[in-house]
Amino acid sequence: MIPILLLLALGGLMHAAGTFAASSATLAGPELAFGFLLLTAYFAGSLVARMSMPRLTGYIIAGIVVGPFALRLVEQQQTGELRMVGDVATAIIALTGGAELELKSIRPLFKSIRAMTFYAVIGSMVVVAGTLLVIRPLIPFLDALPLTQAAAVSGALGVAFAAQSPAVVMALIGETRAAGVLTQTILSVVVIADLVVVVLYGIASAAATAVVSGQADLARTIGGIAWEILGSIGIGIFVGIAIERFLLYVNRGVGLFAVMVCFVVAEVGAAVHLDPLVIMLTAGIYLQNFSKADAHHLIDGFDAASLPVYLVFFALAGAKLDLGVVRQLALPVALVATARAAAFWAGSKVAARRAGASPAVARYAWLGLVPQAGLALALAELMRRTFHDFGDKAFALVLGVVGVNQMISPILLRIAILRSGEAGKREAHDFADGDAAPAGPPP
Amino acid sequence: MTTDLPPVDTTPTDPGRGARAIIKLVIGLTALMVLAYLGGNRKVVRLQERLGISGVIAAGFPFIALGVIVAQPGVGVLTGDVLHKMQPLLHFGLGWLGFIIGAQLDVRLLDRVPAGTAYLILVEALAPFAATAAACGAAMLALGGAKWSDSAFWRDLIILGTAAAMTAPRRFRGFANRTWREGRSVDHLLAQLDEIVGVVGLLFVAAFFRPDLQAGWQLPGTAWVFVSIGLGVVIGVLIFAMVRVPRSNAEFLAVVLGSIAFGSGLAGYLFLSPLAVCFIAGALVTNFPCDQRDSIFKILNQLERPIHLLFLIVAGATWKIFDARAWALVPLFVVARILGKWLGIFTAERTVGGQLPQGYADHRALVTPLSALSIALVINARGVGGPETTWITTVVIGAAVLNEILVSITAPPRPARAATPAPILRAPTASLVPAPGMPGADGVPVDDLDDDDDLSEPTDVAHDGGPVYRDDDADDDDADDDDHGRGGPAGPAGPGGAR
Repeated sequence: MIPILLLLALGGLMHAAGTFAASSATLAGPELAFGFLLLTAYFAGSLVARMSMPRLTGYIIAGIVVGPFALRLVEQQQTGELRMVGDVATAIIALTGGAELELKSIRPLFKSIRAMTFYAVIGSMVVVAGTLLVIRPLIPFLDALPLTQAAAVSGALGVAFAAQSPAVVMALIGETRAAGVLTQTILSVVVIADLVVVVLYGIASAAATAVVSGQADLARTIGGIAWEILGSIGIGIFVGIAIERFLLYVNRGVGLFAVMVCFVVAEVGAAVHLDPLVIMLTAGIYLQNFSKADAHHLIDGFDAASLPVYLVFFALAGAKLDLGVVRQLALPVALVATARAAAFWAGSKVAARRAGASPAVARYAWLGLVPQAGLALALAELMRRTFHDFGDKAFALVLGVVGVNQMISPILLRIAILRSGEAGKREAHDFADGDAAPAGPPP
Repeated sequence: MTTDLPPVDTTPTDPGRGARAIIKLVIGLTALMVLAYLGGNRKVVRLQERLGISGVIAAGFPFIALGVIVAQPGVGVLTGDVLHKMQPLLHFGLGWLGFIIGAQLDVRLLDRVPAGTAYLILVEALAPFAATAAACGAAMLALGGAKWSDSAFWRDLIILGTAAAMTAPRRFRGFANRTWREGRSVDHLLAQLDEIVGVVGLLFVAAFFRPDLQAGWQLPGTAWVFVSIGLGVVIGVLIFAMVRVPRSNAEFLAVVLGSIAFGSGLAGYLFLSPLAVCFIAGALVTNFPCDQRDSIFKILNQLERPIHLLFLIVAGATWKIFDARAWALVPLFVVARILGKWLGIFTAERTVGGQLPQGYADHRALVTPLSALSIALVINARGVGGPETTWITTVVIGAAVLNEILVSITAPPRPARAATPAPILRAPTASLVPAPGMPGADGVPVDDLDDDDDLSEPTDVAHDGGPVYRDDDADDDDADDDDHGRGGPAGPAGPGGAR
C-alpha cells in the first residue's frame, strides 16, 4: 500500500511542477526527471516483485507509464536531456561487464561461447533479415522499396535486431545474485555479441547505404569501422592502465575516479566516433585479466552502487517506448520478435550440441540472448539518421521489437536463472556496509 | 546514380578533429589522475597538515587547480557546454549538501543552548555580512563594474555578504563531521549555526531575484519564500515515508539518492534554491522520530566528499583567474570580513556577554576560514535568476585562499601531542560550564574553530548523568576522509544524540 501511495504522491508533485513551466525548459529538468524516474522505478519494481516478477520489468513499466507516450509526467525533452545519464550508465555497465570477464575462468566455456556467437547471434541476423523480406507486404516502408534495396535494408535491420543487452543480463544476475556456468556463458556471449553486432552493423549499414543511394566509399567505411573498433580498444587499454595506476598508487575514492573516467569517455568517445561501450569493456577486461591491480576492488564498488544506475537506465528505456507505434506495427513487431527468439533458441540448441555444453546452457542460454535495450536503440537511431526517407519508420519497428523484448524477456530470463539453480550463489556487496553480504536466496 | 534515390547521410569522420579530441581526452585523464593522486595521497595530506594547510580551500586546492586546468580551451574537458550539461549534477550536489546541513539541526540539542546564543549568532553573522557586502559593493561601483540599479548587483552582494558571514573549522573534515555537541567549543556551534544564515540568504535570493520567464505561476517574492518552505516540508515528509520501504543498503542508497535528486530537481525546476529546500527537508527528517536516521547519515557521509570535491572542481572551472577587477576585491573582502567579525564580537560582548555562561563565548577568533558552503553558495548563484556573473566566484575563492593563509599565520602554535593515551574527558553539563581540561575552562584556551578537540563516540560509561567522551586527537593524523567511516555525525542515536 505504501509504494502505491508514494507513487501517487510523486506523480502529483510532478504534475504540479508541470503546471509551472509547461512550455519552458529549465536547467533542473533532467535532474527532476532523474529523481522522479529513479523513485517511481524503484517503487514500481517493489510492487512488481510482490507478484514474483523481476523488478526490472517494474522499472520499465514505470518508465512507460510516466513517460512522454502515456501520462507525460516526464517529457520527451527531459528524457533526451538524460541522454548523458544513459551514456555514463552504459560506460559503467561496460566497465563492470568487462571486469566480470575473467578469461581464465571462461576459457573452458570458450567453445560454447564461440558456437553460440556463431549459430545463435549471427544465425539470428540471417533469420530476422529473411523474415523481414518475407513479411515485406506488412511493413509499408520495406514494401515501397525495390527488392534489392529491401534486401539490403533488411540485412542492416537484421543485424540491428540481433543486438542484445549486457545491461539487462547484468541487472538480472545482480538481482538474482546468480553465479555459475549458465550465468558466465550468457554474460560472455552477450558481451562478445555486442562487439560482433557493432562491427557487422557498420558493414551492413554501409552496404545498405550503397545499394539505396547508389554511392559507397568502401575504404572510408572500413576505415570508419576500424577506427571505431580498434581505436576504442586502444583507448580502452589506456583507460584500463589509468584506472590500474589509480588502484595501485592512490586506491582512495576509486569509485569516484572510475565514474569520472566513465563520464569523460562517454562524452568524448561519442564525439570522436569511438564507442564508449567498447572502450570501457576493454578497460574492464584489461583490469580483470592483465593488470596488477585488484579489479575486484573496483567491481565491488560498482556492484554495490549500480542499483540507482540500473533504475534510471531501464526507466528511461521504458520512457522511450512509443506505445502508439507498437500498436500500429503490432503484427510485424510480433512476427519479428518471434522469429528472433526462435532463431536464438534454435541457434543455441545447435551450438550447445556441437560444443557439448552443459544441460543448463543447452536449455536456458538462449533466454539470455533475447533481452534488448541500449545498443539496439542506438543502432535504430543511427538508421534513422542515415536513411532520411524511411529511417523514422525503421526506428519505430526496432523500437516496437525492443519494447516487446523489454517487457517479456526479463521475466523469462529470471525464471531460467532460478530454474538453473545458479541464483543466490554470488556474494552481494552493500554500498553502505562495504562488506560482502552472505550468499542466499534472491530477493 | 539517380536523383530520385532517398537521401542518406554519408558525412565522413574528420580524422584530424578526432585526433585532437583524443589528445584532449588523454590530457584530461592524465590531469585527473595526477591531481587526484596529489590530493588524495596520504603523504600529501600529512605534508599539508604539517604545513598547516588543512583548511577548506587549501586542502582541496588540487581539485580547484584541476578545475582550472580542465576548463582551459586547450584541454577542453570542462568547457562551458559541459558545465552547462553538468548543471543538474550541481543542483543535486547542492541539494545533498543542504540535506546534510539540515539533517544536523537537531532542535532537541538546541534547546540546551544557553539563552542569548541566537542573538550572538545573529550579530556575529550580520556584522561581517553587512561590512563585506557594503565594502565590495562600493568598490564595484567605484571601479565601474556594476550599476546600483541592476538587481543582479544586489543579488551578488547578498551572496558575497552571506559567504563572508559563514565560518568554518580550521581543519575542514567535511560538512557531516562537525555537528556541535556538548563538550565542543562554542565556535563549533556558531560555525554550524551560521551556515543557516547562508541557507536563509539563498532562500531569499532565489525568491526575490527570479528570472523573467513566462511561467504558469506568477507569484510575488514573499510567496516564493513560502513555496520554498512548503516544498521543503513536503519533500521532507515524502523522504520520511520513503526511507521506510527499502530492505537493503543498496536500495536505501537508491531511495536517498532519488529523494534528494527529486527534491533538488523540483526546487531547481521552480527556480528556487535546491540547497534551501533540501535543508528544510533534512531538518524535518532528522527531527521526526525515525529508525532509519543512522542509515541516512551513512549514505550522506559516503557521497559528501565526492560532492565537495566536485564543487571545488567546478568552482575551479568557473574561476576567472585573470579577472583583475575581481582580484582587487579580494583583499577588501578579507579586511571587511575581519572588521565585521570584530564589530560583531564587540557588539555581542557588550549586549549579551553578561548573560552567557562564563567562558562560553570568550577568546573569539577574528580571522577564521570561509565556510565550505561559500563555494556551494557561488555555484548555486549560477543557477538562480538574473544574468550570470563570474566575478563573485573569483572573489570568494581568492578570499578563501587569502583567509586561510592569514589563519595559518595568526593561529596559536599547536600543543605537542601526548605520548600517552589522552585522558577521558567529561563533557560539560547542560549548564555548559566547561569541565576541567575542556576548551574554555580556566587555563585552557578556547580553540579558534580547530577540530583538534574533536571527540569520538561516547564510551559506555557515564558519570554524573552526562555522556563521557574520549579524546581521539591521536587519530587526527589521517586524512580527512578517514573520518567518514566513523558512523557519521549521528552516532548511535542520530545527530547530536547520545554521542
